[in-house]
Amino acid sequence: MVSPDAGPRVTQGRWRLTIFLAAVLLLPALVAHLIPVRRDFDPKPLARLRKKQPEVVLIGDSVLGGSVDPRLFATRIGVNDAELFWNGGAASAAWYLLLKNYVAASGIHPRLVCIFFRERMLTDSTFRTTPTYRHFLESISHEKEPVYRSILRRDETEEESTLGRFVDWLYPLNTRRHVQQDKISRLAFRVASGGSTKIGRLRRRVNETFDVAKLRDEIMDESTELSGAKAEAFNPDPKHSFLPHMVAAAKAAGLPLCFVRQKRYPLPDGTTPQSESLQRYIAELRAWLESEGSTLVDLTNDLEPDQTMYNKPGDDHMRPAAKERMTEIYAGKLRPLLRP
Amino acid sequence: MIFHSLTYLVFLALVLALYWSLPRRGQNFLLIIASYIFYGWEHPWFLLPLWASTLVDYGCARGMESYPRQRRVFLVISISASIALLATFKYYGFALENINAILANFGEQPIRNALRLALPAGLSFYTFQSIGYVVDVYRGKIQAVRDFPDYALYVTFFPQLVAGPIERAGHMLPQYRAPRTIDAETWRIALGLMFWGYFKKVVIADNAAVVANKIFALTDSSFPVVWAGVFAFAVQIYADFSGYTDIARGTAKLLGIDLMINFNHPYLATSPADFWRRWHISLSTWLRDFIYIPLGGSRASVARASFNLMATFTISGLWHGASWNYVLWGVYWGAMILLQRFLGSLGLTQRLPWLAKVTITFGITCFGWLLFRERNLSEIVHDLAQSPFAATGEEWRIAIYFVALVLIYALPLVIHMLATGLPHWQLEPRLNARQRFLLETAVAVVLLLGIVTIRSVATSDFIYFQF
Repeated sequence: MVSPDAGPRVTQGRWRLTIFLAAVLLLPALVAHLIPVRRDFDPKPLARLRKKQPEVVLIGDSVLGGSVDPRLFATRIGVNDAELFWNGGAASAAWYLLLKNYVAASGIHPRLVCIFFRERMLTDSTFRTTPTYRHFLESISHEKEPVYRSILRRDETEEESTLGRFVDWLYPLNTRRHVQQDKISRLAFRVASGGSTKIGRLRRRVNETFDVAKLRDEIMDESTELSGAKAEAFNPDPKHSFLPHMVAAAKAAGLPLCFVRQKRYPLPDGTTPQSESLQRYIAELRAWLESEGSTLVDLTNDLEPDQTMYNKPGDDHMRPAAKERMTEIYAGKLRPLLRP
Repeated sequence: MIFHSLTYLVFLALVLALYWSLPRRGQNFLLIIASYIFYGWEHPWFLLPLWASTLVDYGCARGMESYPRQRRVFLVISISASIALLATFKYYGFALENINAILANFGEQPIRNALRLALPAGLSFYTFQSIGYVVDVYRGKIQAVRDFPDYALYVTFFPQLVAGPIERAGHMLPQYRAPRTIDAETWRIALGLMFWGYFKKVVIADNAAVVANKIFALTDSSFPVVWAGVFAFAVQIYADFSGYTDIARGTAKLLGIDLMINFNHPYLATSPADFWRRWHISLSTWLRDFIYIPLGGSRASVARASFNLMATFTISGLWHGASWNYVLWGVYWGAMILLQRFLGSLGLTQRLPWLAKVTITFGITCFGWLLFRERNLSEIVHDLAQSPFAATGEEWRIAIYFVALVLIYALPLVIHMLATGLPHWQLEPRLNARQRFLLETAVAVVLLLGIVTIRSVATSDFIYFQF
């Protein structure tokens, strides 16, 4: 027998389900769209470049930061000033943005612009673009960055279907979460620092603790951090790589662009082992760059720098005491490329 | 197919749309086909051992009823077939590794691993579920299934096929034979469960995994950092596995099927034995019913009962994975429960306050997770050799940072655990239907907002898929 209040109960249940679904599906979509996508563009480096008018600009990651003293470099190479643009964990996405939004946009006329990389970093577009790095990336990008956003979206978006794009539009996962995750990370740092807002030192210590050289062997083998990027063939497809866009941006601004392959931690005899596929990749990269009017300088086969100049076994960073010598090596290699 | 993919959501929507327009038998056929598509989506060959297991166990159970005098023979055939599947896919490589290690000691050449087979996802789950069915038929607890589709569905039902819960025939088969209905309230509850599951997986587990993976990747870490990693892993594995179960249970509910509860706030356990009553309940009860009790259980001499317990937990460890650290983990849990019994017999455990019991049990659990997470015995020894007094203040702060980071992501789960797991804190009984509806809706909104805004970038498979 059906209970007399069964009808109203069913209707009430359906109403509740409708309200539940509407609230659950629409409110998060609405709130997600209210979260700012990005940090504001940082204009300070732009002003600095215009003021300093450096004759050489060097772009890279922490390995560059630890290898080159810009003042000494300027003296050794024979220019008035050299500007170093480096950020720990920067890679091709960041280098493209730094080149386009600062060096090219500043209107300066350097005699040489160099991008320092290792292995396959130039063509792995998603390398170091996860939320940890996205915060920095957003600070050097403008609101409209069609190339940057389309390459990352293309390579990151798991679902390329219309439905996938619709879901991504409704619930913007990839473009918003780094903002929140950075806030959560900062909150955790503040907790660990006893409420202090000065979290930079602890953040650096955390980064140092997880330095690549401290990883277990099996992790090191798997780590893309170690080789720089995914072990793929050279592919300068502008839909998937920032490399052609870097070259195009430099051409458009009339910048003489050079790519410097940094030498990784060598064997005791000073050589650095390379797989056949990597050698093939570098040869193809060189040919492509030269066909585009750029240059490749490769330090890998130079016996100097040797093991004693590196921070520790397996680490590509230089020890502070070797910075001066390393600066001289780079200056010597790059001097012939200076535009008159 | 994985639960946390758009493909799965589209697949589920299609299945649901078709399912509720079909009669019961049609629904069962649809579920079987859908389950095979789900399971064979990425590796179609995974279906071969699944089909083999289904056919052999169905046939053996039918044989037991048709030839009662040969019941034992059919039981042995069925169990041997299941063990052979596990041995081939899961334990062969491990056994060979150990044999080669012994051979190397005698200067002999290693035996080449000719098989090198990938482990089909969920093999341990569905073989245990099948063994449970055959043993129950053998014991006369249930009748053998005559209708093959009903049995095929019992083995392959996609929400629980890959990582459980390990269901019992007595619970599932009547549901497959009965007409199913669903009302709006059940839809809401099912979706709420799934939201929880997704939140646990992609927000809590995957973010905690980033921390745990980082720390367990280090060659040398200090005491606080190691234990921060263990804490992160404790959160990760619970959120990951219980998240999977929530999605499985929610999906099944949408299909008008009830799956058993697999977790009951395990980190609120007050003793090692209590932990196993709350953690992976379907496996614990399976081991109890099909291994521990048949061995004699606790109704034996102290020595024999201790042996039964240790044997059961060693098998539990080995079930989780073909590696010595899992065996060690199983032995460790057996030893902890024996220790608990011993201390209980001295009257030492009863006097402890509730919070102390929970804290000690959580500590014991975390120690177990260290054994579970570290694959290499030398790394376990290294981790345990770290002294808290040797760590610097900065290392402690780094550890606090990681613990705080994991706790922030896990905050909704912690609140949920306290609000539903502690009898005197329970909120739900104090609310009327309207208030409960509003609370559940608000919670679901927060969960989906969390999924949208703080979902981890580093998405990984569910941990228990590998078992």
